[in-house]
Amino acid sequence: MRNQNKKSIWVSPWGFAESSLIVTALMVSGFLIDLFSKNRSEIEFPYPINIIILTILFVFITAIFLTFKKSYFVKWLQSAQLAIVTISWMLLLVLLMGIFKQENSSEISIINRLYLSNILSSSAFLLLQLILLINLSFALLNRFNKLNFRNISFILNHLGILIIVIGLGFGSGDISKYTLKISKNDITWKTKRGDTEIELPFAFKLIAFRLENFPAKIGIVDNQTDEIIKGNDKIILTGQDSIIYFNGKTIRLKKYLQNSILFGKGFHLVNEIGSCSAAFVEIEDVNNKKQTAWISRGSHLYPSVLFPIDSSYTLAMLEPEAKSYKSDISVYFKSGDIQQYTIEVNKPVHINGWDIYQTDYNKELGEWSDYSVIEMVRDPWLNVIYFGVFLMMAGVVLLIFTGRINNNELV
Amino acid sequence: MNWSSFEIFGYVAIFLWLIGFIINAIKPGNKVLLFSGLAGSIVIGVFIATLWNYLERPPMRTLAETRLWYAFFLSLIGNIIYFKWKYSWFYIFSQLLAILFIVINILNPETYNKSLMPALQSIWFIPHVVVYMIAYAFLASSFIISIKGLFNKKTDIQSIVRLADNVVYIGFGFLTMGLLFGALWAKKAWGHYWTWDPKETWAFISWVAYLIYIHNRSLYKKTSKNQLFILFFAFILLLVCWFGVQYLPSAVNSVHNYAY
Ligand code: HEM
Repeated sequence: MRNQNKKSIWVSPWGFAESSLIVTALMVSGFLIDLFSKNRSEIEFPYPINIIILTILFVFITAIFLTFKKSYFVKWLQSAQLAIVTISWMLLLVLLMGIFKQENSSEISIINRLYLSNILSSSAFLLLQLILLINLSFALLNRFNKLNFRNISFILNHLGILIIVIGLGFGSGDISKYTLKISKNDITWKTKRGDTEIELPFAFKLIAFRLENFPAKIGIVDNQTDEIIKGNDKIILTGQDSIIYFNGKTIRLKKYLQNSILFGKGFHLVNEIGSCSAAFVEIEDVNNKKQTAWISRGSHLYPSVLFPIDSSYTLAMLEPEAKSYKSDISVYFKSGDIQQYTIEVNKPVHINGWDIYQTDYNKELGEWSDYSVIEMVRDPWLNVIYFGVFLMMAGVVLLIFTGRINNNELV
Repeated sequence: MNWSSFEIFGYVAIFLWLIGFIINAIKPGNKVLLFSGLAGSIVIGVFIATLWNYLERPPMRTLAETRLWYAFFLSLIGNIIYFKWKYSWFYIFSQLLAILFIVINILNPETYNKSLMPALQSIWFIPHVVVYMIAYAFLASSFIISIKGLFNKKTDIQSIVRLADNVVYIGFGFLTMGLLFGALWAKKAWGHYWTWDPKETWAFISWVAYLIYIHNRSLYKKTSKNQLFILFFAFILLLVCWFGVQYLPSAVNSVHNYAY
């Protein structure tokens, strides 16, 4: 390994210098291609093109490996030097992603021409994935060739990541994804993609949308900046913490109503559209003088009710935060069947190869939302990716335990 | 028990760790140090448990809460490494970092926040965050080690890089787990594994940085200072991911935004 550092460049075996030059040259060409080519469209390979390309690629790689196993070129293709350079370029490109805002913009600027605002679709990134794939494949073939216990962690990790890279790269063209706004009034059975209408594999109707809020918090607003005062002890919570001390005043929460409306002098518990959360508070000043007041967040139908503590601060109820929301839906199948499901965040349902997710609702109406936004996704490569993830997890657990063992063998 | 009693716990833990420093100054390598060192970690652990109980949700939501875990794991790792290899300098650095996190929390108490948005209410939430916290603590340890190797001329580079390896392999393993758990969870919650939101992008960047270290080590088995440089910069990237991302304008709508 040491004399490798001293050899002149381009003399076999290739090492770090050659890897850097070749990969960098490819990356620069990628950016130049993008710069000088007219708006090319996104590259996608739907089934069966992806399978064909993948098969050809692997037959090709395996054939080269088996025929030229001993050559310096194949040794280079499977080398860690090439891996380090490739991974470093990956770091660089993703760093660009972290710095330049990624957006779909049609504006013609140097940044967009170079795909800096859409790195994932840039030619350089695609090329990098290809180098990664080739490097990983050769390194794996080499290790398969001399299978032993020490190689298991290596194989699990690298086969895992190879499968993930393939699944993400080649599977993306096969993903179908529709976002639908469904309501109680009509059955949703088609959607639009651009200008074309697409018929869905099944139809949906909303039966009920159910939302539960956390109890709203009460905060103190600075009249000058209109901002809630942050920090410890400054916001009252409902329930256990029902008291705060502020500017010499003691503020106590006496009563909290989740759904109520203003009627006469106070708020009363009701459960109807537009009802809002309200709290009855008592404010005691330094001289033990007490005052009481109702405050309320209001809703789309009713205004909020605030209470001025003094000339510069106001007591206000904050926007309640959703605790959970879910939709009861009817699904109409082409066979004529109708079935009911409940979908909730983190609890999608699986129907005939499609996953149905709860994603959104009419935020303005909150719990009285008149529609529910759901997303249906079909990803035939899902299990491929899960398999890769599973392999890598196993490999990483082994790495945690064996990393040290390898160390002890170091020079 | 809520945040208002945190100061007491924080000061007690700091006091216990400082006793460890004194024991170390008098008699370096003395195992008695471990009693006070571990006691400090346990005090923080007890506070986390009671806070969890009070909040009725895992305290992993706000930055102040994650700092607690960080102080807990970091001090624990400091004790373990001291126990195994008797590195008292490591004990001092890791405990100093843990103290720093406690002090930040005492100085900037964040708001109470009882609510947990629906997307976070998942069985993946706890494993995802705990695994990340452990990873961060280990990788912070590797950062301490790299500083020692880079700036202390008397350090034996070979043994310091070996120590770093021990810590990095474990830290990287947990980091990878955190990344994968996060992706599986995102799939369940939103239907996408990976959306390259700023936090995810930076998480990937820091993961790749450590990947470079590991591959570089496997290639150049002879230890050198360059390898410590990689560790040093990798942790800077990790810090951006952890603290810096929320200040990026593009992170406003990020699901990972802990900014309150
Ligand atoms: C991202 C794409 C990756 C590429 C292109 C890559 C490539 C390589 C290559 C070419 C080698 C040297 C092959 C050899 O010595 O036979 C290697 C070694 C290694 N890689 Fe990776 N790798 C990648 C990801 C990973 C991941 C995700 C892990 C761990 C989770 C990992 C852990 C290792 C380890 C521990 C070694 C040293 C193995 C040993 O010396 O026994 N690699 N990698």
